[in-house]
Amino acid sequence: MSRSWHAYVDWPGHRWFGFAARIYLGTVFLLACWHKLAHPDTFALDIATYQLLPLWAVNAFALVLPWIELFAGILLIAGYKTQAAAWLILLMMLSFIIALLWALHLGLDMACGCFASQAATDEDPISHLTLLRDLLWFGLAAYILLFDSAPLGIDRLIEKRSLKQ
Amino acid sequence: MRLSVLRDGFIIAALAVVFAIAVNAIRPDGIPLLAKEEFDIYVPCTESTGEAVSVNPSTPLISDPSSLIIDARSPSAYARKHLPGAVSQPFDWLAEQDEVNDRANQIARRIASSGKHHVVVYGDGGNPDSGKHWAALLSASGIRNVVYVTGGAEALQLADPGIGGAE
Repeated sequence: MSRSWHAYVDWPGHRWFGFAARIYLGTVFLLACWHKLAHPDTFALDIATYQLLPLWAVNAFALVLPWIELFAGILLIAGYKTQAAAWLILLMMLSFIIALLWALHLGLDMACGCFASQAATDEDPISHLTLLRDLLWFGLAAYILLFDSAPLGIDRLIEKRSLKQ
Repeated sequence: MRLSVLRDGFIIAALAVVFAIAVNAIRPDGIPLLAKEEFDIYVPCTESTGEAVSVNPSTPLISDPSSLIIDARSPSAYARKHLPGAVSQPFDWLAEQDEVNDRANQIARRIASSGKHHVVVYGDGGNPDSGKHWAALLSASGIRNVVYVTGGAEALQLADPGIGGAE
């Protein structure tokens, strides 16, 4: 890796941009998970509508994914295990993007199920704009993972304390 | 990326799995961990990409010998009653988009070789209307002068029961 690359990665401004990106992305994931946590049955239906997962995996995915979203969202905002949370969000966004591409390829006329079930609202239909939005969030997660190496938050406090000792 | 990040991510995901299973086990509206019954999912509707022009049931195109009449209803509905000379081409709502497009292209080739000048499609007149969808698909396949009958078979019967119209 070149020296200029290190200088770019170590730029102090990343922590502030990273902080803003973390608060935004963490809030998005907290908002995204609440309805799925409250109504796993309807979220399972949303997943089944994508026709991507085998039947036996649908409920397990519907049960576990919102909890990962919740944990990752909280950790991202708190700045604790930030990189790991960003890594998980990156993986989740990748899976969402694959599912969206699949649904768009099939021409499925459905809501994306990202924030509330399609049974509850028709206001979030999948489209290329949904894909663009997910790509933006994927980019934010990648930015946090790659550039926010000294995040403002609990991780930083722990690091400072360990340095003092 | 550091190995500790991967490890922490794995631990967070494992904790999420434990919480998910535990909470689901105690909540009254919990769902089975492994789905066994098929979901009653929304059937994806095929998209019509061409322009579908509507005509009234009383259009002279229906009795015009240069018109090809297509009945888009189910084979059983066609068998019960149909317009004289109408060809049965049922629209399958459950078919995949590619399958429908292929079939539309096949029909379009047949229409092109039939020497007819107009194509009149009628469906069940419901919402969505199978006749309108076929007309749009044929139009998208390059067939010109494709129209569909507003209100479908039911409207045809209302407009002129004497023409042996639809059920």
